[in-house]
Amino acid sequence: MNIWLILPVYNEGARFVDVLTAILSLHPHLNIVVIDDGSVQPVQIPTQSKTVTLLRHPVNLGKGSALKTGAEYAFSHKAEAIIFMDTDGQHLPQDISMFIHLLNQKFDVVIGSRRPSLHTPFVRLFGNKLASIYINVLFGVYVSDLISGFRALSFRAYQLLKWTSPRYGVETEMIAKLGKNKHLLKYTEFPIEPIYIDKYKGTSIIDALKILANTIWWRLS
Amino acid sequence: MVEALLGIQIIAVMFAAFMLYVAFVHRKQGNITRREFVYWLLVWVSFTYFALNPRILDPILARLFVTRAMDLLSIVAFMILAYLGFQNHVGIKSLQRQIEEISRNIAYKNAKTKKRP
Repeated sequence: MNIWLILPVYNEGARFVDVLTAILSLHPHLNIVVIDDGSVQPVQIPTQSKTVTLLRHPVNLGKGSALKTGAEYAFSHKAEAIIFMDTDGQHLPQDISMFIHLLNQKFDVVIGSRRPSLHTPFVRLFGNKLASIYINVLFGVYVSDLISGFRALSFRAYQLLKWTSPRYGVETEMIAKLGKNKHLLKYTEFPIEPIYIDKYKGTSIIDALKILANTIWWRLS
Repeated sequence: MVEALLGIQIIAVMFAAFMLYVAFVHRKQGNITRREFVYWLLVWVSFTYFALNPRILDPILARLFVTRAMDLLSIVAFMILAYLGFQNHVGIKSLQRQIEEISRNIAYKNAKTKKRP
């Protein structure tokens, strides 16, 4: 199966280089698309990269738009499935193998759900759990880590789950659409090791409220 | 008989004068067209006129069962703001979509692929 890895980057600096180097050492033959979402310091690809494509947005559009840019590029280059991974170091490149394995098992949607641990901030744990229950009530699909950015989609799934959220709502929108198309798609989740880095990065309470408002629209539309 | 101006009327007139100045500055800078400037000129001159002569609105107030001219002006202002807010929302969404599309096309055009020799 032709699987591509999509890496959205925004102002990650050296952290991204470490992540990419680790990925390349484990998966040297994987096609990788890096989307620099208008970083202040433009992203540089290490010279030892085998097949890495760098796409750069001239302005910061948001994570949802960056993922879409990468997905469209990969599928237009004959990718059959894509894996999204955050580049701030919170996901382990070792878990990519599991995604590849499950995609080869014909799963359309694979979600790497962060396993709750003693290091998980309580607010995140509680908020995430509450959001999962809420989405389950609204869309009839339960995903234990709704906002995990480590996930994979087949081409069929991408066509059905194509999102419009330009920013952080993208993960929730995908799950909402998965709920509406769950009879057409084979999906699964598996536990991944959580690494919490920046307390103030990711989805804020304001983002969460906006996403909450959008869920009503996604349900009605 | 000349009535003394109320504090709220003075504030209304000063606000209208300020908004007219803002419209004038933007017209001078070429940010708004002549037509848009005339539109805003009419809006703020009318606003000043009604603020200074609220009794003119009495027949309308009675018909609409609104007690004070100030209440009517507040309702009208809220409706105008709601309309402008919606217009802005639609305009910004459209611009966002266009910027996203342009940025994506630029990214694809300048795609850099590294291959090991």
